[in-house]
Amino acid sequence: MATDLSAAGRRRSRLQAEVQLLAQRYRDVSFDRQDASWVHIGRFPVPGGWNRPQVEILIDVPHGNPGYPSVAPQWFWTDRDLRTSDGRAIQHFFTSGGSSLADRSYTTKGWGHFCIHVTSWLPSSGLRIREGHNLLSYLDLIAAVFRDRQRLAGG
Amino acid sequence: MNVEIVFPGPQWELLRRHLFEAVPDPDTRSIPGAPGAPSAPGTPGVDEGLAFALAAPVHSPAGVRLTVREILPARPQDLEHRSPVAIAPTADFVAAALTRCRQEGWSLIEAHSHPFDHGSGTTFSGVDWSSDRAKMPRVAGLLPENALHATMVLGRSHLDAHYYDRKSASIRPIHRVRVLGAVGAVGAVGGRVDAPQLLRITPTSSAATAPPTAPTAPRRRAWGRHRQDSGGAADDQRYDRQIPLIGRETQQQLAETTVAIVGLGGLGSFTALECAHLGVGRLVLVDPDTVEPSNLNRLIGATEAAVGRPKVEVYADLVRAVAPACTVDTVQDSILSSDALGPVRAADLVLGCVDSHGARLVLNQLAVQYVIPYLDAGSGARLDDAHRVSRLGGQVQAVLPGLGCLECRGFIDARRAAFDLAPQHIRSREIAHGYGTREPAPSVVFLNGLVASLLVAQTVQLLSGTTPTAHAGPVPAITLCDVLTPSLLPVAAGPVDACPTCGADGVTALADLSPLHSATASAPPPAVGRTGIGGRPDA
Repeated sequence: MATDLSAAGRRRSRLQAEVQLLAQRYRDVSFDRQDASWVHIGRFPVPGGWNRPQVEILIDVPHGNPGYPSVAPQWFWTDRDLRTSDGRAIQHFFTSGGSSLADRSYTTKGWGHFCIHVTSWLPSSGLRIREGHNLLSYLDLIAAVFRDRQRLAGG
Repeated sequence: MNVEIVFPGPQWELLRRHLFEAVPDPDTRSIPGAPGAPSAPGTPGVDEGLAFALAAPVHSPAGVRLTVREILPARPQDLEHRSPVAIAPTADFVAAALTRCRQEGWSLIEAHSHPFDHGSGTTFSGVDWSSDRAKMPRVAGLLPENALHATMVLGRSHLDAHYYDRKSASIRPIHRVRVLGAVGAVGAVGGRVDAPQLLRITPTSSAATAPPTAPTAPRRRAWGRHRQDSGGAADDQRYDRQIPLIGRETQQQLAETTVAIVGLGGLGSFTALECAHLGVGRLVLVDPDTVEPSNLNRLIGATEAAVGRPKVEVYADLVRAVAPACTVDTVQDSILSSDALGPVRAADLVLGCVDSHGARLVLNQLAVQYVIPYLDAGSGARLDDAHRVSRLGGQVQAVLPGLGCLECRGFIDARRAAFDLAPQHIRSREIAHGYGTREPAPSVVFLNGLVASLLVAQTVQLLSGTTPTAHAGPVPAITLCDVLTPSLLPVAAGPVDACPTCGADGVTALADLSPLHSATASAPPPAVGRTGIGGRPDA
């Protein structure tokens, strides 16, 4: 079978492999097979202190060229009605999105937006995914964000 | 049409090793009377070797550049016959290579050796010509539309190459072969270890005897064929004082080189003018911005009258005033625009003078993907809590095959690069939420001058293959410049095999087969509560 050398083709191939890794840890994992521009985790567990035991996670995968994995994912979406169990608002979490049509296409589908930024990112090639940063590491960061509820909720 | 072939150092080394070392030599026959320069007395001859190279074609107004991605060495079972003076691949080996080319878009280069040839005039034999006349039209016709078919012959010290031109239905000379990046003893063009060059340019034998090819577009110079109007840059009186330092050949090389300068801030302004003074033949200037009053403390040569004008126009005028023979192309746009990518990807050398990590990442990938030497410069200052200068300096980094790249050296700021390269609506959203804004960084003219001069010195060093000053080594991967100490510190770096950009599975030499482009708004996302949209991992 011929190798798809385009940026989208190489990214699709990479995401396919990474999603296999994610599926070993999380349930209901899927990805954008056309543009390889997002990865979706249907059941992402969150620790106590939140108003639900699990959420959905949608990761924007940088899809320019250069794109993922050279460009780190920097923004993720989760259930818009996520709150702390005592109902407090969460810092860095935006439920209204931006003013653009693209953002509204998320918020109208029930997503809220987390601004959590990766500052250190050294990925490896598709042949050695686990040797560098990857979507699993990014989901580890997301899990750490949910564990940090006290700080996010301002108290 | 002018055509050149560019080999990353590791691919060149693999090819040379296969052609001259790995060929079994059971008979150790001598080759009396063989064409080309005779073997030295007592030197055993070996059979010819053969390999295919898969290369990506890069079409530009200056011609076609073939960037070599992969070498397919012919094993004994891949050869129909082999002798000290002839060699032919099996039909199966050719068919397998052609299938890869058709499916993936590659150009096909067939390379074979003349191991008996130690001279400096290596060229195709009569047998080679007969074979090429018969098979090149047929093979070329089986390649993808934009792809070329070329053949090369390598002697011990020199080479020749030509390609089949489908338009004129004739075999035309390839003008030069460039090898970029570190290679070992076997990879050196002359088979020697003594040259620590990171860039080797070898005009082919056929190009030396071929009539000059007319440029295909006005004011465009052909690769390797440019001569300044005065009849040769090295003869121009204006260079009398620098030729003793950099050498006549380097002066001519500068005149034949197209340098892209991306970013015309403090660093880029010095760099553009120094390149003009040096005698660079063609400059491609890229910057989206206009001159602002706050730029005038460091844009060397710019006056009050420049305020409000595009930087690229201001510096095109200044460069032309300094060096009328220099051709200047300008692109007032971002490096990710198609207007900028077109000429920059066709340049011989890219000098990065940008302050954006997104632009750095783009240039880094472009350099690796199009096999273009890239020298990146950056300068910076830091103030401590008492507002005293605590750090003042900069660095120049070389991105060349075998030296690694900015990405695997950890030099790219992940957060800033992701912001710079995000679609516009995401950048707007981030800014609306209070992210992605930065205070203007402090900058001063003398710091930019120091770092830019270091960048230009390394440009000369790279093009000359030796150094302008005695006893200096090859271009370092990283040179750190500390103004407060003051000191210059060269830092070594090597390839990282797992790098997603320059590693074994990276984008080296993919060229236009994987075009660079901006991210745009992505496909509509799934809705919350509707899991399972898109591809399942096990699908």
